[in-house]
Amino acid sequence: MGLCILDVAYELGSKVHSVSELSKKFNLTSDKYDDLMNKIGTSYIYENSESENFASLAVKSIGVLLAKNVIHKENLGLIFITQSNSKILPADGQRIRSICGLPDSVFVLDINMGCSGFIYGLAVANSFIQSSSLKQIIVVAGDTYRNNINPIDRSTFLLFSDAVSATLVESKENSQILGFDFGGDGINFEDISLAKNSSKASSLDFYMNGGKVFQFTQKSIPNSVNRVLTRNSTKIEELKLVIFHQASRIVLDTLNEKVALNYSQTTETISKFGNTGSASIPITLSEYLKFSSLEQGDLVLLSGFGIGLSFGSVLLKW
Amino acid sequence: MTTEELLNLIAKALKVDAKKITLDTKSESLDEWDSLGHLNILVQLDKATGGKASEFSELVEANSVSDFKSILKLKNVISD
Repeated sequence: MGLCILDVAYELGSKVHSVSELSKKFNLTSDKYDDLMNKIGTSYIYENSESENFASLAVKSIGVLLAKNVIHKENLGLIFITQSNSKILPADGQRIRSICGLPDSVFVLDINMGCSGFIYGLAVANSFIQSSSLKQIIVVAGDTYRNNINPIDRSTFLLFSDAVSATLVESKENSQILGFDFGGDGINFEDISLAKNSSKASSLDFYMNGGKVFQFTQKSIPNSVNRVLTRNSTKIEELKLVIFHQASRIVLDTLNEKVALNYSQTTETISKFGNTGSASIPITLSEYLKFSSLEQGDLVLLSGFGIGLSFGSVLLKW
Repeated sequence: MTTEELLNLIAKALKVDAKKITLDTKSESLDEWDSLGHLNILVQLDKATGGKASEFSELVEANSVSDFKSILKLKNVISD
């Protein structure tokens, strides 16, 4: 008994910016621009309009799943994974549940995590499905960081998009979950954070130490992938599909090389949507399933990493 | 890795003429050595050392070629 992924929906911020336009303010030489694009790897950035926020994108995403699938509301749960709640307290979960017209008996859980959060959300959903009366859970993962991005910080300004995903999972006799691996770096945990901007005492800016985060991904993620494969006696070449958190082009390229993936085993959405935070893995899975298919028995590995610095990997059997 | 190989690696990462990079070169003295250039050095070092360099967080704070050399020598990556 355990969970199976049934469907994924997502919403992006409605304001679309071309990165080539956004980058003009930085007066980059053509060499520097090319270099930056090779590292970041996206052509477009999606940003919330004034009327959009995490909750509104979540409501739309959940609405798509409710309209497309048979939902058993009496055994439904909602798990929200975000760091973009409207307020520090309370979190948005109950409000979103109410706006979606779901009964107050629906189980709601808010989790404060970022780019690794979708994997943790799957683990929590799997546990509830195994140990409670919940039969279906919608795992909502997303962030709208652009509000806090400093427009003079090109490494984040040209990288992050606002997006929220909703993934419907259901209890099945034959679970897709084969195993998880989790971990983190408790020393460099503040290398992605919201920090005070000295020029604006009241505001908090998104801060990322690119060098430290790059090193964290290179030393932690290949090991996490290897651990979850070893525990399940699986070889890398047996994987049909691997989806990493869409951090940046350079992180994806180096991870693909380190983990020794064939081109056909990987897919990406960094080039279309930028870094969509905790929504990036479900969005990439959804995009993959639009143009390709997974057959019963296919092995799929998902690996998320980011703020914390935390990471999580899961091996699934489709 | 030798010191000469480190100098060449940094020049390649920063996309500057190898003659511009010496042990006296500091990040503040080269326009190309900004945060993106520094990330390029870390990426190239990671590749050149088979991933070992990503274990050394001190490299992120290094702001001169001699800093890089000292750290890598201490970690037995540079042999001369």
